[in-house]
Amino acid sequence: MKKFRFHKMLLILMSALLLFAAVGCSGSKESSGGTSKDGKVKLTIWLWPGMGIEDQIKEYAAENNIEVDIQLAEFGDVHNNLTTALAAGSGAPDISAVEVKGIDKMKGSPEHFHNLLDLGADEVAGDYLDWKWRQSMTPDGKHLLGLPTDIGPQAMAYRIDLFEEAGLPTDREEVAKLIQTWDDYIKVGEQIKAKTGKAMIDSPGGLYSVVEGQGSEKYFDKDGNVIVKDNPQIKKAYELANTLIEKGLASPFNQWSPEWGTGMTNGDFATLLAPAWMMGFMMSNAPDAAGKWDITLLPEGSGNWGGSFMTIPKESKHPEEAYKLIKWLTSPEQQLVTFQKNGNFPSTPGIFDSEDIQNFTSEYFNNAPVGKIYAEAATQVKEIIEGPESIQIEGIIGDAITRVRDGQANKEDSWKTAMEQLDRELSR
Amino acid sequence: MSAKVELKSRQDLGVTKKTLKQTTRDHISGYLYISPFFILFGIFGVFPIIFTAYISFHKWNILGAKEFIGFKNYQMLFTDPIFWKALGNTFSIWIISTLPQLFMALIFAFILNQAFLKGREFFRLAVFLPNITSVVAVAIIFGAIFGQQYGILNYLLSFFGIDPINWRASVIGTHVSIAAMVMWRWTGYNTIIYLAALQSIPKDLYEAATIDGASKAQQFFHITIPMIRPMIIFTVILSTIGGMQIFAEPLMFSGAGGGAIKQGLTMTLYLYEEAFTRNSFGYASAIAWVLFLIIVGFSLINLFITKRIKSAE
Repeated sequence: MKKFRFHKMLLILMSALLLFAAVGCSGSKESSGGTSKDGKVKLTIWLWPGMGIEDQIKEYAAENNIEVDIQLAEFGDVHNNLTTALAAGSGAPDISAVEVKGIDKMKGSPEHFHNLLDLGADEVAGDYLDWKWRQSMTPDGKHLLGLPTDIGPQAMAYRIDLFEEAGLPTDREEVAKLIQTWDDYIKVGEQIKAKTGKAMIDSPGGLYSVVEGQGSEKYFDKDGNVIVKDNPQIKKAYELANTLIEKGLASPFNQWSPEWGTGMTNGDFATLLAPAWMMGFMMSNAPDAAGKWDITLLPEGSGNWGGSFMTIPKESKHPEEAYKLIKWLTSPEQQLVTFQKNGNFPSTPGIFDSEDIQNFTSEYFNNAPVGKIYAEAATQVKEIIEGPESIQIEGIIGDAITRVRDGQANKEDSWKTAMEQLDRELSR
Repeated sequence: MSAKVELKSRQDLGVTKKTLKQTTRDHISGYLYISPFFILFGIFGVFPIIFTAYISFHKWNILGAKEFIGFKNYQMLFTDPIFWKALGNTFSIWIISTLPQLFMALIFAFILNQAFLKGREFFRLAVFLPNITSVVAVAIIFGAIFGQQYGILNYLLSFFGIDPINWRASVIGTHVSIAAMVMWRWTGYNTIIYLAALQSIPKDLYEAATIDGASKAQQFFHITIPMIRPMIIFTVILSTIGGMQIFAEPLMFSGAGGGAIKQGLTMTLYLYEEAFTRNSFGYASAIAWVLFLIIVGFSLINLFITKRIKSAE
C-alpha cells in the first residue's frame, strides 16, 4: 500500500469524483419511483403553474400516507421535458399532466405510458364526457393514456360598459338573443365600432379557432386524411375572421402579449371568446376590470379549447398508487373543488346539473352564473378528431390571418402561402 | 505535507522503476491529468455532435422508431424557403446588433479609461450590469417597450409626430427590437474587455501624442484602435458565435414560430420549433449540422483574417 503513491491515488480519486459528478447529474435527478426513508411510497408529479390542484394532491397524500413531490415547470417545458425523458428512458415522473395537444402527439407511441385500462380505468369511463375520454385513447381503443381533468368549453365574455355606450342591451340573456349568428355578431361589432370606436374582438385568430371548432370535422376526416382545403367550416371561419379585419373590428393585439392584458383592462375590445380556464387568466391579468366583463353563450354553438389529462409514464414503479391518486383527483367531486377554486371546468357531466355548479357565480364577471353557462356550453361541444398535426395546422392558418391583419398580404395570397406551407410540412 | 509526500515518492522511485519506465509513467500520468476534460468533452461534446449527425439521416419523432431516409432531410432543408428566411434573419439581426454594439463598447471603454472621470468603479459596474440580468426578463421588458399601442417607444415617437409603428409585425421592426435587446445586454460585456485592453496600452504613447499636439479623436483612431486590434478580433469572433445562435430573444419576442411572416425566426429558433413543436427530430438535427458547418466556416474566415492582420503588423 505504501508503494501506491499518494498523488497517484489522489489523481485517481479526483478523476473518479469528476466522472461521478458528471454522471451523477442525471443520477441524482432520478424522478420516478422510489420509497422515502420511512418506507412511504413516494410519487413524483409534474404540473404547470395555474392548474390549481396542488393542494388537493397534498391533501390526498396526507390522508393516504404517501409522499408526493410536486414539480412545477412552465406549460411548454412540462411537455418537452416529458418527451425527452420518455425518449431517454429515464427521468420521467410517476404522474404527469399532459394537455390535449400533447396527448395527440403521445398517442402515436402509447408504449411509453401505463395503460390505464389495465389498471381498472374502465369502471370510471362513464363518469366522463365521451369525446373527452376518447381524446386520450389510441384509435384502436385498447390503450388509455390519461384520465381527463378539465375541459375548455367556450363562451363569450363581453364588456358591459362598451355595450352600454353603444346603446345595446347589457343583460346576458338579451345579449345572447341579440347575437344568435356570426352575422349578428358582425352587425353588433359594427355598431360598437361606430359608437365607441373600439374593436369587437381581441384577436381574429381567436374567432377563427372557435368557428372552426363548431363544425363536425376539423383538419382530418375519420380515415386520417387531411381535409383542410375542402372543409367548408374552415373556409367559413377564415372568411369570418377576414370580414372582421376588413371592417376594422379586430384589435391589433397578439393574444398572450402584455398589451393584450392592458387592452383587457382598458376595454379596447368588446368581446373575448373565452374557454372556461380563461376566466382565471383574465382575473389575474386584468384584475382592475372586475365587474366590467360579463359572460354569455356563443352564437352557433360552443367548441372546446384545451383541457388536460393525468398520465402515468411507463417508468413509474408505483403505477397502482399513482392510478389511485389520479382516479381520486379526476373524480367528479374533486373536479368540482378545482372548478370552484380555479375555474377549470369539470369533464364529468354527472355534476353539471348539481346545485354546486348551477348556482356558481363569479363576482369578477358581474356575478354571472358561470357554472350554468359553461355547463350548457359543455353540452354543446361536439367530438372532433384533432389529429397529431393539429397544432401545426392551426399555427399555419393563424399566421395567415395575422398576415392579413397586419397588412402584409391580402386574404387570397395569405391563404395560398399557408396551403403551400401546409403541403411542405405534411410531406416531411 | 506535500513536501513530505514528495520526499517519500522520490524514495519510492527505485522500487517502482522495476515495473514501469519513468517516461512511460510520465505519459500515463499526463494523460490521466488531462483525462477529466476529455471524458466530459466526449460525453457532452463529441457524442451529441456525432449522434446528431446520425439522427439527421433519419425520420424520427423521438418517441417512436427511427426510419432511415438518407440525405432527404438535407434535400428538403436546402429547398425549404423558411430555412433560408431563418438564415437571412439570423444574419440581419447579427449585423444590426453587432456593429453598433462593438462601436459603442469601444467608445464607452475609451470614456471609462479617461483620467478625468470620477466614480469609475461605479460606471464599470453599471455598464456590466445588463449582462447578468435574465434574458427572459429583458425580453419581456423590451416586448413591452416595443408594443404598438401601449409601448413606451411609440409613445415617445408620438411627440415627434411619428405614427405608432407595429414593431412586431414588420421584418425590420422585429430585427431592430431583437437587436436592441442584444445590444443592451452585451455592450457592457464588450466594454469591459476593451477596457482591459486599453489599460494595457503604455501611457507614454498618449503623452507623446499629446506633446505632438494630437487631438483626443486622433489619439483614439491612431493609437487606441491599432493597439487593441487583437481584442477587437476576439470580440468579433465571440459575437459571431453568439449571434449565430441567438434564440431566447426572438422566442420571447415573436413566439416559437417566429411570427406570421417568420420575421423573427432565427436558425436556432427554427431548430427548436422543428424539434419540440413538430417533433421532427431528424429535420432539426439536419438544421443543427448545417448551423454547425456555417459557424465552422465563419470561424475559419475569422482565423484567416486574424492571421493576415497579425502578419501585417
